[in-house]
Amino acid sequence: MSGLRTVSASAGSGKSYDSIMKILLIGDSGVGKSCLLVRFVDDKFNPSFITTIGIDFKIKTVDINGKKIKLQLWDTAGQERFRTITTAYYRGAMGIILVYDVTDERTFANIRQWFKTVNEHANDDAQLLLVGNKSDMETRTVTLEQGETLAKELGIPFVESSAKNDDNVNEIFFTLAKLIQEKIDNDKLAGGTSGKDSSININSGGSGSKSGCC
Amino acid sequence: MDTLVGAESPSLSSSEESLSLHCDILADSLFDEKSLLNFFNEQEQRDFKTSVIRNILHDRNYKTLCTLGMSNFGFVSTPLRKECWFELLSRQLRVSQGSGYTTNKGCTREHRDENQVSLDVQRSFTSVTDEGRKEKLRKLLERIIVKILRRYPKLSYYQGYHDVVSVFVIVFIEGHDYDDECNFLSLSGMTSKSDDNHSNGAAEDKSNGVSSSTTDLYENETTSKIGFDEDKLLRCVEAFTLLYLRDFMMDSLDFPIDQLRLIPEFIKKNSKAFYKKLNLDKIEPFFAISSILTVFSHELKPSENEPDSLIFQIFDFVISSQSMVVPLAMYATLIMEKKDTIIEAYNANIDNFENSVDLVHGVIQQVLVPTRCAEKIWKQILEEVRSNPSREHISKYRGLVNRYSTLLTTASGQLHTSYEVEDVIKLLEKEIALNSKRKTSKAHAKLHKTNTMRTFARLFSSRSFPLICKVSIFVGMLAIFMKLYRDGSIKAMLPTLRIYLKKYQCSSFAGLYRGLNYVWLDPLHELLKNPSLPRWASKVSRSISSSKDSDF
Ligand SMILES: Nc1nc2c(ncn2[C@@H]2O[C@H](COP(=O)(O)OP(=O)(O)OP(=O)(O)O)[C@@H](O)[C@H]2O)c(=O)[nH]1
Ligand SMILES: [Mg+2]
Repeated sequence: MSGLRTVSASAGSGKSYDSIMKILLIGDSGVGKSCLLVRFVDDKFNPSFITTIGIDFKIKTVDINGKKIKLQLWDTAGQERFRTITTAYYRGAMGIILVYDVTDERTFANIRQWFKTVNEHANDDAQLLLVGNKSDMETRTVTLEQGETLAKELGIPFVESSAKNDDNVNEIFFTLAKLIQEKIDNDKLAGGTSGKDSSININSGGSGSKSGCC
Repeated sequence: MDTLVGAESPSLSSSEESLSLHCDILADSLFDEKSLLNFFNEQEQRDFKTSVIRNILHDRNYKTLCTLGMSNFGFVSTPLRKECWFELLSRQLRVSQGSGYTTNKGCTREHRDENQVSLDVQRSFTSVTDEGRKEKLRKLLERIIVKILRRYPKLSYYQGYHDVVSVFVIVFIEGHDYDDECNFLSLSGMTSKSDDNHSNGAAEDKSNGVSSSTTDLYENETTSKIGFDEDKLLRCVEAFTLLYLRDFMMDSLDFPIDQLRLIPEFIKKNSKAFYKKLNLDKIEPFFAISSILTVFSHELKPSENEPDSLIFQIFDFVISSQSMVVPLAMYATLIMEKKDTIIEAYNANIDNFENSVDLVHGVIQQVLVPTRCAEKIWKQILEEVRSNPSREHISKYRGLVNRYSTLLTTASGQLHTSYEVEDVIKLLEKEIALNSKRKTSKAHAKLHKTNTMRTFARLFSSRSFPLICKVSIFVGMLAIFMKLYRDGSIKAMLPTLRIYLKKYQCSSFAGLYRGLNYVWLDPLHELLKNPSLPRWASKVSRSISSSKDSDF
């Protein structure tokens, strides 16, 4: 049996999307996780958007290679003490975005800790992405190269963004969704032998095994 | 006495008139609380309650004040609320002069969480549109939080504490310096002064002995000039923090998570099927964390423009009933209230979520978020909680929380209790010790568990471990079990087990509101007994007592 949960019964029964992806945003408090999310979902920037307490989630449907993909975006609280709670939501995440603040070295240093937490709690095949946010600020203390080096070391893709100026925000989510989609398609081509119950894929009938995006 | 049924405002006297106009009908037919309430329009009720509260405040009748805070409209308006909160909280937490907690001496050392405080303060008061005003409110908020943390360095700050404190700030700043530029300036003068204190902590330390008295003088002078009493605000936040929020301020969230687990118990008591449907027997109720940590102030943000916002009445209720079980019960009530919608959403979304943790969280958030703005549902919940004086007591759930928990001690719903700050500090220290013990034992258990499990698994799965051995272990265990069963030891254990099960099952809906059914009548009664009242009132008074007699 394929590890992908295929809901054939609901095929064409008014579902407005082809598949769902669970994506998680993690990183220290104040790095801009919520701002990135609000920018992506509502295309707004509120410099004093409220603190996240515990977990919040939002949904946005995007179009990737002709497929309607519902992104289920889970925003987490950054303060260390909330980790007991937030890690309960790591399970089954197909994509995890690790965010730091390019103007705050501590948040950059803590990425390693976040990476460890991911390894402990998330599915092995979750697709990760490193994001250095607030690239619009003059007061940066973490260089682009430092970000790239860390990403290479951890073996994950990297991008710098600004929720304020809307730089690279859509790219974060689209890149991640495409990478996840590629993974799913590859698994399918390989005969669905992954055996991991990590992904939900709701196909509306068609074979949908388009491969190779970008 | 003479300030009774306040003659100071014309609106009050007019309502008094209408009261006396209808008093014959009142005396004849309206005997129970409900109809008595419904008889007057809302404004009349408010005015009347206002004058009652004024009077009670004047007499410093603490018990009646509690009763009033738990009934309709709570403390009615911000100016009154301020006084009542101070009256109640300063009574509940006694800080004797010279106890070391009254002055800010030695409080200049920076608290480890101040960075997080400033991150959160920058994201507070988002609904305030006037930038200058917002800045001022934020400075005040930060100053209060930092003062508390420095005064009690053992407390840890959590994201959400700032939401709770901002409720107090909004209430206490009311009526001050919005349109009065002069007041604004003096407040800001105070602000910058205090900010200097923060940044020059070290310098301040050295000259502490000399300068503190002058600082106090300066502050008193300033506050009396603008009429805003920061000390009162600080006292209230201090008492609320130590008595009500203590569990949340350990260096982990284990205790608040314990508290959350009462919510499913309440739901189970109400509807076992619904409890099962939401998988509450299998998942943690983390979806409620922000509501409980902030006493709903994260959801229902307080605003100066909405003095009647229900968040204030929720706080009135919590403070008057001295109970932190109230928010938990309210949350459960809210879920029960929305039961049908939740079930509907649950069924519709089963395929949309990866696991039941996500599903339940997603569904509840989806259903409750529109509720954030809907005052109606909150009103309903509050009414339900007010009019539902349950007989059961929190002691049923004793096992769910630590023994020094606010739920069992300082905010247990035990009315009219009062604590010395030193005793609360002792409780705090015990809780902190317990929390760290639990943390280490948890880490141990995790290690231990994985180790034993691993050894066991390895033993059984490894090929080097012959099948015959596996079989013999199995047979041995079976034999022991059989023997126990034959002896009757297992049978003998059954009744005890059943008792435990039963104990676990008869959870009830927050047994804390031993409030009177006649929440309104009691203070009314007291007021009406007063001989200085006009004749119509004593008539009402008599009829009320007779109604009471016949009803009980
Ligand atoms: N200049 C700049 N500031 C940003 C940007 N993104 C966020 N901020 C600021 O950073 C602050 C914190 O952002 P949030 O999105 O609330 O941070 P968070 O990571 O969600 O923090 P927690 O909810 O506490 O975990 C915001 O109030 C913004 O003022 C950005 O791209 N550029
Ligand atoms: Mg956030």
